[in-house]
Amino acid sequence: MVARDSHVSDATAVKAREKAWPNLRPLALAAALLGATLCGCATPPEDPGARADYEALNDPLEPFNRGVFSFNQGLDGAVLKPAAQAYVWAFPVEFREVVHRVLSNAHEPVVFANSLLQGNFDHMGTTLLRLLLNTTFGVGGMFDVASELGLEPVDEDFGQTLAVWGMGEGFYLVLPVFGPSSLRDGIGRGVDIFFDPMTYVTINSDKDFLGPSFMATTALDLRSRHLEALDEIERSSVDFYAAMRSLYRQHRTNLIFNGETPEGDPFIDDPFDYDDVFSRLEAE
Amino acid sequence: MISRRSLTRIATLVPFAIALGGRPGPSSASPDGAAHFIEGLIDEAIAVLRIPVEERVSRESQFRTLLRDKFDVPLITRLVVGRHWRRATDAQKQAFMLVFEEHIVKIYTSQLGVYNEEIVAIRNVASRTERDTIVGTEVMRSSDAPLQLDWLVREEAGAYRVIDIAAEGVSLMTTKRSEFSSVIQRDGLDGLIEKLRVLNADQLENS
Repeated sequence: MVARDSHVSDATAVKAREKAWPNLRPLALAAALLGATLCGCATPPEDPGARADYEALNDPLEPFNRGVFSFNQGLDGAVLKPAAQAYVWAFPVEFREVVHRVLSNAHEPVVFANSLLQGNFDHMGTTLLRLLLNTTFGVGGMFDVASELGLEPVDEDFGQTLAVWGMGEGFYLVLPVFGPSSLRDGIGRGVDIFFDPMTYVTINSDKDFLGPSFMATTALDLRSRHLEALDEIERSSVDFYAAMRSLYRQHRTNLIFNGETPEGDPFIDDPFDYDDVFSRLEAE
Repeated sequence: MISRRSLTRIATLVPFAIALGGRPGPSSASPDGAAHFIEGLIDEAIAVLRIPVEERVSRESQFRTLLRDKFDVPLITRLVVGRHWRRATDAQKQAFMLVFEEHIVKIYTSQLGVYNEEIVAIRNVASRTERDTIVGTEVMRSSDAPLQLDWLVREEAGAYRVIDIAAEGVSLMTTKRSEFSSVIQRDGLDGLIEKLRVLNADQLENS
């Protein structure tokens, strides 16, 4: 079941390419200045240890981000979560699964475009076949016949494409409504709109309800699939914002490397060397 | 390569599959030893999960025993606080160790619900350093795609202990370190200890 991805060696190349990109910290500072009215900029601490932590955390807009996060939580609690709960209560799981599959199928062109841009022929082929098979035999995407044939779904977006091209996350950014993101992934979302055929369908249609109802269904589908998970994370965290930030980043790294981190080490994101820290702590 | 997008898996702490093969080289920790150790751990964990969810006290106490036996809790506790540990007073260290262990016990006994005869299989084993080994396992579930769970196992004086778990590529240590670091920066270690205490009490009420 675990197929060797032809881009395992690319993972290390990505890290090397990242160094070729300009330092985005000035951009972050500019953004922070723009957001100064919201009083959203964090002041870097002076203590060298704390400063190192601050730089590693790469969240210069933390106060602003926490504000947006709070707003999103409020919106979620008031509107999205109750709607998602109602959706789950009203419709049986089989129906909701069909909705999910149709939406996923409609999203495949975006995945295909990004696989192409990343030069990932494996994913391109899989996605194209999935789209064809599921649209025809799967009756407009309602049934995932492709998975039965071993063509498992692939997750690609323009944020991942930028990462593969060597762009670092820039800095952590919480988007209104959409939630945890980064400078890079936020840009990615914007670009993906152009890859999505639904964008063109809704623009060219005279039916005004099409765009909003498609977005609403996507939102309901997404939110309803993560009800317990997000509740669990919130229940078990002392700082929900920080937990989500960390989870988001690790998840993105996982997606970017398509699950195959360099040297096959899932603990690669651990920012410290256990032996080094341990012996330093013991020496105290 | 199979990709996952679900946060559900992150929350249930299921790690992601590693590439095939490991790094060859001499190691005092034998991959087989680590794999065998994880097999034993999984068997014991399943035994805990078989305890009905209603018998919370029994579940928690069994889980706590498992935790202390199979995980290097002192090391994990120190590392999750990082550089703040050496500045902590003995009283703070003591308080934190108690409250952190309780936190871990509470999270996992609530998250890991009923055991539905899922099969946990070892996918691969890779040497990370001379004494650390990564054991990659997979949880086969009937309803959904398999969950990838990776264990970082350290060998010390012949004994194996888990020092980190990663679910679908999301590491417990990385997540908790990041979270705690944020809280310590804002409220200090005492603030973190207090917050954990409150969280543990809340979970007690809500269960």
